[in-house]
Parts: sequence; structure tokens; C-alpha cells
Amino acid sequence: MIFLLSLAFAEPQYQKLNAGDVASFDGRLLNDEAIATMISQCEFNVEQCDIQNDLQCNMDKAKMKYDFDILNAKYKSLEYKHETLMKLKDEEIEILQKHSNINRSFWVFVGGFTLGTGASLVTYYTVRNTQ
Amino acid sequence: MKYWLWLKKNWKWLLSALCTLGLSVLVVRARKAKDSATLADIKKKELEAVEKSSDILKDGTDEATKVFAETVKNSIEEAKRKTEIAENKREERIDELTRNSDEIDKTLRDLGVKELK
Repeated sequence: MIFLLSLAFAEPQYQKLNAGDVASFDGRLLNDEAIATMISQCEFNVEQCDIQNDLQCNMDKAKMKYDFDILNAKYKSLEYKHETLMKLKDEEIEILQKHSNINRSFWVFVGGFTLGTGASLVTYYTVRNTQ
Repeated sequence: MKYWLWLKKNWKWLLSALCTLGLSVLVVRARKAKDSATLADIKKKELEAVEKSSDILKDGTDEATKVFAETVKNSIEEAKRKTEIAENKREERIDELTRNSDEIDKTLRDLGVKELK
């Protein structure tokens, strides 16, 4: 129990030693090169983490821009298609409406009727005059 | 003979009636032909519009893909360059710390490691 408590409350510490000195606590003895490597590796890891974060951030931005550009291209394409087709359909409707005009059909009917009646009368009078 | 005489007498009326009829038929047919040509032209323009919209989409997609590939390539190259710089910096730091023992003490203190005197 005491051992566990001592581990829990143990704080990181170090002591400078020269060759032949006796250490005042249990631990590992490292030379300056080993500690320098550990410290610089620690700093390098932090920097590497920043680099990876930047890379991931740039990749995400690029992907978002790509998605946006694709959607923008789709939007422009559909907008052009819609506007052009609407104009053409309006023209088409205008032309077709001329052909399906109710008033026009009525006047065609009246004209046909008058023409037919006139033709009948002409034929009748022709026959009558020639006899 | 009687018909012939009557026709000879009234041929102008008949001719004018026939001309009017023929002219009106021609006008109606010309108008219908013009409308049919316009409708065919509209259909052609519709197909062209659909094709052009596909081209717009294709061009946009190609451009977006090109930009994306370029950006990814540049980002990876930049990360590699930064990593190389960081690696060189690490080696320089090891040399610096090894040469200067006080700097190791300072760094350990900064990391929260206490020196036991």
C-alpha cells in the first residue's frame, strides 16, 4: 500500500551525477546524448503533429472546395439548361397556341361554311342559267 | 354548248375565285411550313442546349478535379518539406543540447522535471 502511494505521489526529478557518484533514488541513468535525443524527439513529435494537422486541414479544405466546385458546375449546367429550355418552350407554346386558337377555328368554320354555301349557290345558278 | 357559252361569258369570275382559293391554300401551306420549320429548329436548339449543359458540367468537373489533384499534391509536398525541415531541426537540437548541458537542465525544468541537488 505504501509502495503504491509512493508511486502515485512520485514526482519527476533528476539529479546531475558524475562518474562514480551514488544516486539518491532509484531510476535510470542517461547520458546527455540520450536526454538530448529524447527532448528533441519530443519537440519533433509536437512539430510533426502540427504538420499532420495542417496537412489534414488542407486536404479537408481541398475536398470541400472540390465538392463545392462540382455542385457549382452542376448548378451552372442545370441553370443554363433550364433557362434555355424555358425560352425555347415558350416559343414552342406560342407557335402551338396559334394553331389551337379557338377564335381562329371558329373563323375557319365560318369561312368554310360561307365558301361551301357560295359554291353551292354558284353551281345552282350556273345550272339554272345554262338551261 | 350552253355551258361553254356561259363559261366564256363568266370566266373572269371563275378565274378570280380559283386564284383566291389557290392563293389562300398557298398562304396557309407556307405558314404551316414556316411553323414546322420553326418547331424543328426549336427541337434542334433544345438538343444543343442539353449537349451544351453537359459540356458545362463536364468542363466544371474536369476543372474541379484538376484543382483538387493539384492542391492535394501541393499539400503533400509542403508536408514533406516541413517534415524534412523538422528532422534537420531535430538533429541540430540534439547537437545543441549535447553541447550545452545547461540547456538540458532548462528544458527539463520547463517540462516540469525537478532537479535534485
